[in-house]
Amino acid sequence: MGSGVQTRRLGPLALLVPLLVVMLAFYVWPLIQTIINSFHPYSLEGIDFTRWTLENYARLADPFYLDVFLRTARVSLIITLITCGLAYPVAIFLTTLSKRAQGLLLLIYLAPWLVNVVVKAFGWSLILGGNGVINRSLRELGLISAPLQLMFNETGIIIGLVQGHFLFILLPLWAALSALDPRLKWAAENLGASKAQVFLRVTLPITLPALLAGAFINFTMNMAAFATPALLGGSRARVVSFVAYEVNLVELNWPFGGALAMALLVITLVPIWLSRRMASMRQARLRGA
Amino acid sequence: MLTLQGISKSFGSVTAVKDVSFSVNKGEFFSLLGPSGCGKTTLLRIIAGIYQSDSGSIQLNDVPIDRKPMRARDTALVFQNYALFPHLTAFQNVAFGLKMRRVPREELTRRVSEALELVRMSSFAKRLPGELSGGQQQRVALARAVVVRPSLLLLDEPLSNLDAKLRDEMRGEIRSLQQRLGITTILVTHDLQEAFAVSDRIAVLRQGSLQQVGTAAELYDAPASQFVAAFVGHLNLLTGNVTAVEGGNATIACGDGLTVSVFANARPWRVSDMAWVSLRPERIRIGDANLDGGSFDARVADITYLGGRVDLALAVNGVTIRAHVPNVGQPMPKPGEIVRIGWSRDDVIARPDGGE
Repeated sequence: MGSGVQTRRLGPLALLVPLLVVMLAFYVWPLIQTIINSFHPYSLEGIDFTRWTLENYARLADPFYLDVFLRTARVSLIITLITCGLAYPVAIFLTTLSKRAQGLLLLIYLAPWLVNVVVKAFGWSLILGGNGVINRSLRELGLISAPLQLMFNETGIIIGLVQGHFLFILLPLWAALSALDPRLKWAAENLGASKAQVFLRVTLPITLPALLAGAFINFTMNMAAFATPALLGGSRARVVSFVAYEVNLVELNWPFGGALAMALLVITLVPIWLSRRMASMRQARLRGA
Repeated sequence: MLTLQGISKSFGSVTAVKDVSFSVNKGEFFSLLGPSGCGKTTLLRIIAGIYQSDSGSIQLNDVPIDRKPMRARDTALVFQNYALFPHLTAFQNVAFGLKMRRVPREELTRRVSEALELVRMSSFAKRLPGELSGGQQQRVALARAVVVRPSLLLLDEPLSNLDAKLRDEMRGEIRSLQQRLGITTILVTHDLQEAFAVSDRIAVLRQGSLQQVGTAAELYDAPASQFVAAFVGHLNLLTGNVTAVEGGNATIACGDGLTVSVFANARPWRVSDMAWVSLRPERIRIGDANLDGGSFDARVADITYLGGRVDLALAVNGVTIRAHVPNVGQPMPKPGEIVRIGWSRDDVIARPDGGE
């Protein structure tokens, strides 16, 4: 009987083993390897595993790499802010529709996710390129003489990722707005608030946690994005993930590539940690002193 | 003060409010009473401006307010779920309306403190709604509404989310608050006791139409229809045929030969028409030999002892009559016993039935 209970408890856990093995072998172990590599010196002969060093991390302070980190953070933040501004009206509009129409529109917003990021980036280059739809239209309308540079710079990355990571802000915001009791808005209006005041003093503060949650996810996704910035920014607007790719796979300098990856990971974890702290502080406040 | 004229409202194919007209006097405590789905909350929301009526007009202080936006109507609404702003403290919730009115900081602080004092919530000023009990949230919601000194206070089932004991307590508090402030108030409720306890006048609604407006006593002693009679707690409602009209009296035959004699009272009685009769349980006499309204031998079917009062179920000529007998020490009949029951014409309410 006792062993029967034991088996029944272990049975479901056994189902986790295959995935656990895969994760350990192909995710955790390479990650540890990367961390270890980043503390070893590299020369043209290869990695010197006999010596430990911090020189790979010291090299990150080089103005070139600092610039790449700053650009990545700046572009990521701009994308997040633009997406917040664009997603709010869309989310509000969605909640005014019937449940059926909401489902349909959300499906349309979700549809680009079914397309591979690389394919999407090539799609963008047809639209944004020097001879793309936008530039040709503007030229034929006589609005511009020389093509606008919409690709292979920060603008290209921003356009591509605002669209690419839009849902991560839209969905939590839409959920929060749907759950908002209309009586709160009526109560505010009944007490003399204008529509703008209702938004600023009731809707916005109550849905702010959802907006922030979405914004943090969006920001970390922007920081980590590779394919879109590589194809729409390229070597003229390098972001960390692109440089890490070049160092690892072109220069084959795995120790320094590891240091780049670790730095990106740590920087990206900061906002996640911050958001968790803020969420738990708010929870504690709402639950009562 | 407030006048509604022919207000109607439909949602799609459902008519929520049908041609409702009534007036509320200044300082009056007026209740909209009816079963759920009767349109009373819709009517309240039309007055507040949350919904636009399809037809009809509303005047507040002799000014039409139909086209005014919600925030310019000078009404203050207390919602059934209180709708307190969850991110603001009790103090900030109460201050909201004053902030919107750009009341200077000092006056705002003073008035909010007074309002919180009025509902005995001063010590909870810094709490968020989530940290308050249902009764406390209710008090904050009341303070938030009265602090702006509205012309009209609208209460939407404010007590229905509270437990029975708290409900009785808050009922008294709301009434005394309304009296102290002299604020014209409309209460929406489905609870008869609540409406009777606090209201100066009551409007009974059924399926969106107004059935009767009057004081509690008027509704109970002279219900305009069988529906109102049933709703205000008349338990013995019978229907029958008019068999005779003579000498200022009408005779109605109900059930299996239960004939009731009533005062004709200048109502349009016609022989063989339908009529309804209400024999209120507290007016049934037990043991009296002959009364002018009707006297019968009845079998005691059931007895419910309630302490101060004993409820009897009596089988008479094919119908069951309920009687409430005050417990003043008299011998009580036993189940199965045959007793003489009766009522005088004075105690019977009867109307020719217009096919209601």
